[in-house]
Amino acid sequence: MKEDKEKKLEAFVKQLVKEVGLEEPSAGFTKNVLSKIDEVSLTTQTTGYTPLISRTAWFVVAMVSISLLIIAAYGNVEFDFSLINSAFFTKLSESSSRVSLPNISFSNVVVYAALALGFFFYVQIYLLRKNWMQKEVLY
Amino acid sequence: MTPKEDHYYIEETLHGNTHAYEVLVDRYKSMVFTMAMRISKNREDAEEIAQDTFLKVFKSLGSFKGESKFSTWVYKIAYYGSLDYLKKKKRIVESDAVDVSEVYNLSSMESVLEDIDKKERLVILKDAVQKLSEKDSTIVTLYYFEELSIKEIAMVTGLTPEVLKVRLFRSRKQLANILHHTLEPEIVESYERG
Repeated sequence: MKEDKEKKLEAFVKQLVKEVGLEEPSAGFTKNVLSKIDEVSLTTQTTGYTPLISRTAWFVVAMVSISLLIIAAYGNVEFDFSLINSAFFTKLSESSSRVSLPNISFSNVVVYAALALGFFFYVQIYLLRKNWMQKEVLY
Repeated sequence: MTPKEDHYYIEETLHGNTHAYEVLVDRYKSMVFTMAMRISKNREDAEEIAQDTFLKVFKSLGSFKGESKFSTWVYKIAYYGSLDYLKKKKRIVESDAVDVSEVYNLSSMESVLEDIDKKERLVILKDAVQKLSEKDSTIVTLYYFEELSIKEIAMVTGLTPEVLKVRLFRSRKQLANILHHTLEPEIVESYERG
């Protein structure tokens, strides 16, 4: 009996809302929206995104790096700096072999905990990013 | 010729074709405007909210991933935009006084409504829907007019399906009560005649 009453009310409300229908905005609505969009696109064009390092700069950087690599691989270049010479490096490696670093050992539990912490840290980054993106869409 | 899917117009808009966006605006402007009307209860405000909604949609179109229907996404922006507008205007969003008592008699209300002139009836019904709280009148329109599922309305409003079911149940009773109070003189008259 009660269920039947609910169903009847539901049908009544549905018919009522259908009859009320939707409200119509003013006739020039779409035109106004589009003109606002044009304004926005114009301002973004003038203050648009310009990359910090331009394409030409990237090209020059790439060319220089490639040529340096080629020279290093195939060229016959000798370095002779007064400060940093090969003798300095031999000395350095000799002295470093005498210095012994403290031998630290971790138990398995600590290692697993550190790994888990790292894992959850990245999960959190992912979740927060998703959350912020959703907020960005709305506001 | 069948109308093209939203997806086509979204792609076109993203490629700089603003005429494609015109189609999308025309497609959803009535629903967006209605939502804004239901929440702001004012034509001028609703017009501004709806325009802002389409501007926001345009700006963030690139971030639309297609995880939900485009319409659901647009309605979500419209819903939050409208609530935001209310907050800015410092108007109270929720009306807590909810009357869910059953004073109405459905069959007598239906027969009285049938006798009323169509134009007048539309005014009475519109007024009744607008008298619901901001959120409830929007939810009712999305559910009964736009025929969105509870799950989709949950996505639009951020409310849980359980809360939405309770709100719909309450709104049905409230609508019937509002109409009963509006039509009371006519109902009494029909009893006297009967």
